[in-house]
Amino acid sequence: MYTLRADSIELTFDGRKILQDVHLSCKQGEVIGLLGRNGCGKSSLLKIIFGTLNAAHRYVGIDDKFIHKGYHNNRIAYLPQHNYLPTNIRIDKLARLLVDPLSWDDFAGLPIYQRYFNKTAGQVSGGELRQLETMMIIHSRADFILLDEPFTHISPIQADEFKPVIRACAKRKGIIVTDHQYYNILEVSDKVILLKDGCTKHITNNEELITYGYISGI
Amino acid sequence: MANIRTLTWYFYKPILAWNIGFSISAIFYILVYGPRVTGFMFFWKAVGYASTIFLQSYSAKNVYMYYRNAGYSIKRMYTYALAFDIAIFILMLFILFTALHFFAPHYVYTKGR
Repeated sequence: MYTLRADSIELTFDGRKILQDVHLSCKQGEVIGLLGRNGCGKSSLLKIIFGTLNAAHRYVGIDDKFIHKGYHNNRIAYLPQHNYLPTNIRIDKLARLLVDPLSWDDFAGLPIYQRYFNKTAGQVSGGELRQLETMMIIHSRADFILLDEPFTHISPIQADEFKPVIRACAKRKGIIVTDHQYYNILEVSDKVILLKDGCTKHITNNEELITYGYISGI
Repeated sequence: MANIRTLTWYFYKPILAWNIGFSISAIFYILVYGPRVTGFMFFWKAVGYASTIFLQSYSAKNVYMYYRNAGYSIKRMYTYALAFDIAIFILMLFILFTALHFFAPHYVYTKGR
């Protein structure tokens, strides 16, 4: 079992410190929920871990071995907020390159894949494409999965379908998930971390989310 | 890691027409001005690559994440795709010069004399 650790991350935009005291670790078999207000740096933190955003200081390592780019050699996969599939290639061809062969049967059995495997991304509606892209990342080869707002742009019933898939996937992988739909995050996560004033607060009791001013009530 | 040949093809496909256009125009200039402009045509191809990267970064940046999630950096994808393109260009030059040598040994370049 591997452990992903992100530490000493410092990110500044236009002289404003976005991230300054970030400590986060995620073991395979664990789902970490990352919460925080708009603009607090949740997506930036995920991009720094993935390796597509440079920070002034950062340590990202797996089993205490520093990794420069998280995506190299399929160590970490990242679901961005935007659509990422090339629009001119059939979905089954794209999926075969991304999905872990060990998870292929599970992925290929998903109703959303069955419906659209022979279409291109350009022929699928926004919400359904989002669902397909999320499923591809969850079933990818990576040891750790970063999901940036997977519950946004999809219907509540689709969100309910995701949660068991995320839990099942977490048996083999470490998952860090962030979204504004905090109730979904609380439901699916083993641990919750709140990003506030650039620092990570490890939440042990959901009441603390009220104390820190993230929500007004549960 | 995903099959790099297939990934390279998917990465190259949207930029193929643009770069083939640069290759054909380069071949046309060599036909008109002669082999002495071949070096300059490699520079012309480099202009094509720079414009490709600029246009892709502007219009198709979102799909970069697909290739990163497949385990490869974008720098690496461009290196493979553009190496494939330059190989096609060199093959086109080889065919052109061989054809001229065998079928039109007295071909007179019409410009720049």
